[in-house]
Amino acid sequence: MSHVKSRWFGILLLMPAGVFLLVFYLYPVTYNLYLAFQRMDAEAFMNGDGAFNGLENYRALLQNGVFYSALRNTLLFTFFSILFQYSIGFLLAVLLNKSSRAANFLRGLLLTPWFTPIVATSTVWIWLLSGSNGIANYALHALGLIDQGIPWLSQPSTALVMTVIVNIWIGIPFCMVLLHAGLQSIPSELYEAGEIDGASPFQKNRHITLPMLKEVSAIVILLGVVYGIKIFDLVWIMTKGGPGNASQLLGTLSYEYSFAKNNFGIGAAVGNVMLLISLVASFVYLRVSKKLQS
Amino acid sequence: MKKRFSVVLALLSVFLLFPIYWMLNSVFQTRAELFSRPPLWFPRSFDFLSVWKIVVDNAQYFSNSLVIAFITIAVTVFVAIPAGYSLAKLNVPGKSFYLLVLLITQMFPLVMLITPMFLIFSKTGLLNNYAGTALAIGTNTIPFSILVLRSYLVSLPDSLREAAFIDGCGEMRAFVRIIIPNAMTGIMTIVVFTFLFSWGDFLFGLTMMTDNDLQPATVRLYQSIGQYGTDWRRLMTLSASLALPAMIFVVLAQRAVVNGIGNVNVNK
Repeated sequence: MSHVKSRWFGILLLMPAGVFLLVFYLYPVTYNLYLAFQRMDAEAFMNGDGAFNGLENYRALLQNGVFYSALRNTLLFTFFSILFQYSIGFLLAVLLNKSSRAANFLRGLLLTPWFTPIVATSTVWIWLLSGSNGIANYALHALGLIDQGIPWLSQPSTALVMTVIVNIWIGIPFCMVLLHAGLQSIPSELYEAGEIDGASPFQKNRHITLPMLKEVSAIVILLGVVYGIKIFDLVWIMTKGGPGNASQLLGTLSYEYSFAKNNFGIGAAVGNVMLLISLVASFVYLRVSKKLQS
Repeated sequence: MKKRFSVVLALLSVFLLFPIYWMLNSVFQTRAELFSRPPLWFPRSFDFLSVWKIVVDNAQYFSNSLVIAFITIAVTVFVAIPAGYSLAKLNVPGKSFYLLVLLITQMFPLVMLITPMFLIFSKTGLLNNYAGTALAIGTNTIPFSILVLRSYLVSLPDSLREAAFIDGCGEMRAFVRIIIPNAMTGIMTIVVFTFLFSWGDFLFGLTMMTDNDLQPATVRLYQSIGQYGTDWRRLMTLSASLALPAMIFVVLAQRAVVNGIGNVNVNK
C-alpha cells in the first residue's frame, strides 16, 4: 500500500522539475532545431516570423571560413586548457596533500580564481595584459625580454593564447579540488605497503597514486572537454572573438550571429553544431564513467 | 627535493593569486599612481570615499543582481528539493532516465539555449523581467542542484523516513517535517552555488536585460570596459565589488562549496 503511495508522491514531487525542463530545455532546443531551417534575420524578426529556407543556414555556415577557424580554435582551446589545468591541478593537489592548517588554508585561498565572477576576473586580466600600461608588459620589459609593450589581446597572433591562459587560470582550482578529493580516498595502507617494499616517492606516485586516480582523472578530463566546448563568457568579454576572428570560438560565433548580426537562423545552426559535439562528448563521458565503476 | 617543491608551490600560488591581488591593489590608486613606473605594489592611501562613490553610482546594478539572485535561489530551492528527494528516496518509475536527462543538462552548451530562449522570451514578455532572467539562470542552477541534493539525500538513513511513518506522519508530513530539516547541509550547498552562479551570471543578464536600468552588475561592468576604457580604478572597483560577496559567501560556507564541487561527479 505505502509502496503505491510513495510512487504517486514521488511523481508529484518531480512535477515542478519536469515542467521546468520541458519549458526551459526541451522547448528551446526543439525550437532551435526548427529555427536553423528558417530565414530569421533582423527583418524577419521584426515582422514576427521567419520563412522556411531549408538547409540554407547550414550551407552559408559551411561555406564561410570563419566556421572552420572557430571549430579549430574551439578544439585547440579545449585541448590546451585541459592539458594545463589537469597537470597543474594535479601538481598542486599532490603538493598540498596534507591536512595541516596551512595546507587547508592555502587550498581554500587558491580557489579564489574559480568562484570569482568571470566578468570580474576577465576585466582584471584585460588590465594586466593591457598593451600600454599593463603590469605584464612592465614585468617583461623590466626583465629585458621586450622593448615595447605588446598588445596581447588586440593582436591576432596572441589573442587566442591569452584567453586560453586565463581559462587555464580559472580551471586549475577546480581540477585541484577534485583531484585532492581523489587523493584523500586512496587508503594510506597502500603507501605503507609501498614503503615496506622500498618504493621511492617517484615510484609510489607512478604505481600507487596515478592508477588510483584513474577514475577521477577521467572525470576531470571529460568535464574539461564538455566545459571547453561551451566556453563563451571569458572570450566574449576579453576579445569578442577578435581581432578579426583570431580567437573566435563556436560559442562566440553563435552569439555573434544571433545578437551582433541579428541573424538568428545561422546563430541557431551554430548552436546545433555545438549541441551535437556536446552530445557526443556526453556519450563518451557516460560510457567511460560507467566502465570505470564496474 | 623538498625545497624545489616549495619553489614550485610558491610560483603556482603567485600565478593564481597575483591577479586577485592586483585587482585589490588597483582599487585604491589614482590614475597617476596606476600608471606610475615602477608601479605601486601597495596603495599609498586608502581613499575609501571615492571607492564608495563608484559603488554608490552603480548601486542600482548591484541591487538588480541581488534581486535576480534572490529569485533564482527561491525558484531553484522550490524545484530542486522535492525533485532531489523524490529521486533519492521515493519509488518513482523511470528514475534512471530522469537521472540521465539531468546529467546531460550538465554538459549542455548553455550558449546554444540563448538564441531560441531570447526569441521565446521576446514573444512572451519575459525580456527585461527579473523573474524571466532568474528562470533562464535556472537552466544552469536547477539541474545541478537536483543532482547535488539527490546525492546528499541518498546518504540519509532510511530509518528517518520509517520513524516518521511509525509516528503517524504521511508522506507529505515526513517530507516537510523530517526530511527537509535533516537536509539543511545539502540545501545550504545548493543555495551557495545558486548564489554564485546567479551573481556571476553574464550570458543571460546580457541577453535578456536589454534595458540598461535592469542590467545586473556583471553586465554593467562589461559595458563599462567600453565606456570607461582606461579608467582602471573604476573597473577594478566594480570587479572587486563583484568578487567580494562571492568571497565572503565562499569563506562562510567553505565546506558546502567543497562538497558541491565534489558532487559535480554525480554518477555515484
